[in-house]
Amino acid sequence: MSDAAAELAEVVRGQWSRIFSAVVRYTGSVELAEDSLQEALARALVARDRQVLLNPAAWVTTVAKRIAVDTVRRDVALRERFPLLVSAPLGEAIELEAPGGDDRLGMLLLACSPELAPETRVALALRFVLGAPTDAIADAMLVDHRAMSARLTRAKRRIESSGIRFELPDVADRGRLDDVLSTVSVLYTIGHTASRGSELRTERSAQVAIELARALRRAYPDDVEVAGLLGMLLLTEARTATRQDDSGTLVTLEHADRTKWNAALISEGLGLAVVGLGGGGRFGLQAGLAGLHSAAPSWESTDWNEIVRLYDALIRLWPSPAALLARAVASSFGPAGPDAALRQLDAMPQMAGAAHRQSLAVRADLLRRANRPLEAGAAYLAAMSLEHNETVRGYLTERIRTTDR
Amino acid sequence: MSKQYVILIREPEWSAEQVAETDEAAWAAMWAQHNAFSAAVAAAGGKVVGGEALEPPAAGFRVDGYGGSPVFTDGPFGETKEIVSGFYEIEVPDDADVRALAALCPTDGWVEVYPVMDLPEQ
Repeated sequence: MSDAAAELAEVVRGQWSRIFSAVVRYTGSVELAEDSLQEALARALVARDRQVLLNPAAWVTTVAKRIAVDTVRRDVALRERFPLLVSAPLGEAIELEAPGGDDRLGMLLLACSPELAPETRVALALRFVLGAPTDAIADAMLVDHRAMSARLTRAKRRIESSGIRFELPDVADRGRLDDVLSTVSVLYTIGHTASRGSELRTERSAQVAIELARALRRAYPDDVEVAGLLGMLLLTEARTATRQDDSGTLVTLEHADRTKWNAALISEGLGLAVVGLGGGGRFGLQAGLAGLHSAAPSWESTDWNEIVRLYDALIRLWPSPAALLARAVASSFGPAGPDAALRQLDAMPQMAGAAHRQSLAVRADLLRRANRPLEAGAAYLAAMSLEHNETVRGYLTERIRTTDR
Repeated sequence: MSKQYVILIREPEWSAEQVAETDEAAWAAMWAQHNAFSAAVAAAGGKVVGGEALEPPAAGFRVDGYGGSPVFTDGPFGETKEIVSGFYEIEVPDDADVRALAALCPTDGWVEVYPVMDLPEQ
């Protein structure tokens, strides 16, 4: 019956993080939630229950909770570990308020526990709360896929063996909030440009990221970095309509028809960017950077000097490979030009994942603009060899074709 | 923008035996039909906002006399044999072909589709 299983998985996948969040918050255990949900999914396929046809997500959630309670009651060791569950009726008070009205946000705060290694928290949250695929996470976080997979497995085992019981933390815990901001930001990155496949974007990831950022803003209305994150996402999202032309070909920022950008999102985003910039944190700065692009009436009127200045500030705070690359690109459009940017690129440390791949395309483009077509052609080929997104490959192919001329 | 619709599923009542005795193949077919409906809604750029299966009329009751003394009548109500066995609520973009989507909602009878009222302009 694997067709039905696949269809069921597809139906609940759209709501997986809500389902999973609800069951983990109910049980307080990732492993118990996962096992209970697996069992509930298996039962859904054979249950002669019309409710499972009409509202599979609710059915699976309720049944998983019942299974969790049954599991705990039958096992002495588990009864000691989960005393509340033993006597808990299904819809009861151990369920906690969803911050900003979003279940998933509570889960993300849970998952970003300081008891876990810092580099693991964001990845764990992306994988187990938001259901992002391991390879997409690895790519976006600039880590080798196998290493990321191993890291996640170790983290899960550590959680279970050390008996970390997830309880909703004090909402004033700023450290966790920062990890949640990172998680949402990486999720948007994953959604913005897929690392493989025929679609440029992974729509659902981008949408979920924006929903979570909005929930964060409702939950933390006074936090300037939260404002910065939402501003950054909205200002970037505003430009979505012009990333591809009608035939699906990639269109660069330089050639985008700015009249098609979403003015409402830009306006909202700029307001948030102003708040964020006031705080001087990394999300505020990134919102400012997105704003400088989205608010410029044309490519020619883009304030590249100000963009470089903001990148300098960002790099001082958070010297990520992505920021270093972007700064080099921005400086190439200012008075320094592509040659200076190529020298910056050469001086950068070796990168991994998406940053490495992008650095090859950046190098190729700088070489093209520096009138070094032979080297540019070779560099575009090198970039192609690592690029698995068909839309981006199409763009690189076209560049090779026009550069060779 | 988008619009919401409630789809009432009107079909003959399900008996408990009928449900329990449905064989694997028939149940798999029903799964496939419901999944095809929700997949079509998603493909049209919309989503299934809610849905429930309803218990049969024998489990329900009717209330008359609002504003005065309520009069309660237990189901079944002896009307047409097509009861409301369940419903979906969907949200779809304005340009979606709602009729085509509704035609994919599984039923042994018919479905009734009602747009949900929008908020008035502020």
